[in-house]
Amino acid sequence: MDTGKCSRCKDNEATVLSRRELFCQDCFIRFICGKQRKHMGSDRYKVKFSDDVKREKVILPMSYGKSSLVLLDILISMFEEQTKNPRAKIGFEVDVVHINDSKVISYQNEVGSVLRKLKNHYALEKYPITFTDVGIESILNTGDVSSLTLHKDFTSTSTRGSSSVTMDDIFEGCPNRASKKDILDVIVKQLIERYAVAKGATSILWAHSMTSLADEVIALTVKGRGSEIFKQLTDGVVPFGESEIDVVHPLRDCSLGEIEKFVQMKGLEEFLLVPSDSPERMMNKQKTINEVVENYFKTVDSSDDNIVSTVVKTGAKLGEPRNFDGKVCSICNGKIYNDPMNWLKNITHHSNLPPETEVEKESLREWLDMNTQTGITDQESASTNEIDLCYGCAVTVGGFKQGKIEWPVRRDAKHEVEAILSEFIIDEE
Amino acid sequence: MRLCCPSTCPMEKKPKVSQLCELCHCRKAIVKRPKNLQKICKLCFYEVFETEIHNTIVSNNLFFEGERVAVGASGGKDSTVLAYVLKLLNERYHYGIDIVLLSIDEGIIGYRDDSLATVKRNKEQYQLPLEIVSYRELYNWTMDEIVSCAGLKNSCTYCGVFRRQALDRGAAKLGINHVVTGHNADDMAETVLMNLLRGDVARLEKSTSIMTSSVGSPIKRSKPFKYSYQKEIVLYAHYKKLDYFSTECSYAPEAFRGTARELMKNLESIRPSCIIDIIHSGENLVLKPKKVRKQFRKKDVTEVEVRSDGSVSLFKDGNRCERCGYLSSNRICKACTLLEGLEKNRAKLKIDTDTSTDGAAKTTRELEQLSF
Repeated sequence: MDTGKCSRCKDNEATVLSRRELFCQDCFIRFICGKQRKHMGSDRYKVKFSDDVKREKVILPMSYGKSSLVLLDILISMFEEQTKNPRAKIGFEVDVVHINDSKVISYQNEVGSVLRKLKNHYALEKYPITFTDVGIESILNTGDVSSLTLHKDFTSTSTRGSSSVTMDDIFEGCPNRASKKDILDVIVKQLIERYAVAKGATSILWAHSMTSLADEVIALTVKGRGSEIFKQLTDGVVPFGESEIDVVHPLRDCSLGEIEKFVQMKGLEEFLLVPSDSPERMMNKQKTINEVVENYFKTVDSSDDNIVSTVVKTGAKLGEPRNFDGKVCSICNGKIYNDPMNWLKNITHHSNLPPETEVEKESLREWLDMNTQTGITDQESASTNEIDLCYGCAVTVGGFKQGKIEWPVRRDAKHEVEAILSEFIIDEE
Repeated sequence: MRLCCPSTCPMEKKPKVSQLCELCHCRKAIVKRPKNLQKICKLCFYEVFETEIHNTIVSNNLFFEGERVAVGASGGKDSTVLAYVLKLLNERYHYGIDIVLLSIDEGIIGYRDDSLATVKRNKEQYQLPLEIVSYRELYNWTMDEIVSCAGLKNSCTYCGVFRRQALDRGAAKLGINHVVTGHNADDMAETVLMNLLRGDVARLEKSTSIMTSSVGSPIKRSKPFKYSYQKEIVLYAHYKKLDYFSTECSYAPEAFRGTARELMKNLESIRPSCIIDIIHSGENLVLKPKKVRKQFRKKDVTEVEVRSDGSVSLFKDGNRCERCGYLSSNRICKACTLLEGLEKNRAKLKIDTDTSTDGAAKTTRELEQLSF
């Protein structure tokens, strides 16, 4: 890199080249913070002057990965700024929520120690920040655990299962890391949203960088979840049941490269929660779909961030698909559009040619004998209900052993609020 | 039981139960179906492959009785299988359509002349009439000349624009209003991904439609293989022993499409259904309604957008090119614009028996024929 003065302050030596511009460390940090400020510029996050004003309740989902740490760092710096005026009061409070998935994914370090270091590093007691750890197994309490099956004719049913199902049971039939990640994504998203609703939060701040949003757009497309892209990329007020929550991606204009530089400059590496698996050393087959897409962007987009930003911009132009069927997926709770199972049925043909020769007839008899004995042929029990699955979830479950997954099916909406309240409220005020 | 010797009739050897086809449970499975990894026998594979295409044709009302249909035939596996299957299904299900093979000769020596020979053999094998339209007669250029004039990098741009028009003109010449092409599920999925990666918003919504037609054009296009996996097409051609030409075009394949293809290959190894999944996503991509800024629009003034290259956008379906009369969204169609650029750069003088414009394919073929 050719060295020179920072193009912003024209004072300090430049240390970073980003978007064809030279930055010194301070100006670069300011530049990234500016990107976040742009997306959190609404009045909800500004300082308040009256005494009886209620602070906005903001949820920050935290994976202790690079971008969520950067966002936390920026939010703390925002608090610092807001306390500079002695008459002003900080405008919002942050609940940093970590979905603890250490029971299903192994990490090199553990969240507890990371959190202790984090608390020592920042003077957090001055600011309205709380940290919450939600165990991933709490998803099991969100509904009645049932056995969901996707049948060969693309119908799906649920059978009420036992109450002693564990997280391991959910992932038992999982064919590979890619499907595991699909289910984990669904769980994390649901837990965060439910938590936000239960806590009466007014905002959720997702820390995705531009690069990870681009990954999401392509990965969702590949998973058959194209109809969900608009939801993922549209910032704004979204209804969740009876409440409304402002969903924001404050780092959506920053590339992963910039986030990494920020982490380096601020020395945030020690707060990273590092998974034991590293996809670089894996065979392609063992990777998740998101990892393959990520890798693709790395190879295609080495010089500029052109493709990445194009994908995000394109994705942001998408809207809600037409023809909402009025049905909701039993796994991800997403809306189902255009009757996907019927679509699949129309393009897949399962018929066969009947046996012709004696040998073929004998083979068929032998097969029938063996398979009625072991009971492989579908036998429906009385307690089976028909359910609806969205295309993406059907693809995931279809890959599971025998097309089966144990899953907490949500009770109907009326019971929902009560269930959430009883689940999360420990003590009434 | 039929009497036969096991050595001459392997079909009659009884397979183990674990080896049986997952659909009919009576014959030995010999193919792992790329679409869902089901292990099935050859006959069931033919049955599902053909019936799925039939279902696609019927449920989308692709044909009407008495319709004349041109199959865009390149001699490659997709179009060869398409011609074969269409003829078969037409006879089996009585569509009552009249099938003609339509080939385009781009003028790539060592590549297209060989593949055209395949199409000519197909004409005899399937007893279908064949029409060949060449770039030379339509545009007075061959692809070899275009590449030597405009360079290798943009070859696919020229070829794509010209072929699209050539197919329509060929069909019009035959008095046919319907061109079917062998685009398969892999191509469709690739296009969906590419449109997203390139930010081609205009094509995003329509990239997966099975039939395209325009108000102003009498010629519609359809893709009966929209849901057929490329691998299944290859397997079908292999087992049916169809005669096809399997060399890739010798000019640079579109680099960007190459990377998208590579990405899809990696994804398919994780989840074979991803091709259909991507198409499903593609069919559910809908653009947000455009925000109209009213204060800037004056009433009753028709605005005309002038693009950076000087072309004028008309936003009118069915508009015709001022020069050649072909369907175009601009005053002058893309092919005429490209041709104009080419003409400007055409060499004023030419050496007799000049072979310098011959492409790499010819050299390769000559080298192949060398022997010790």
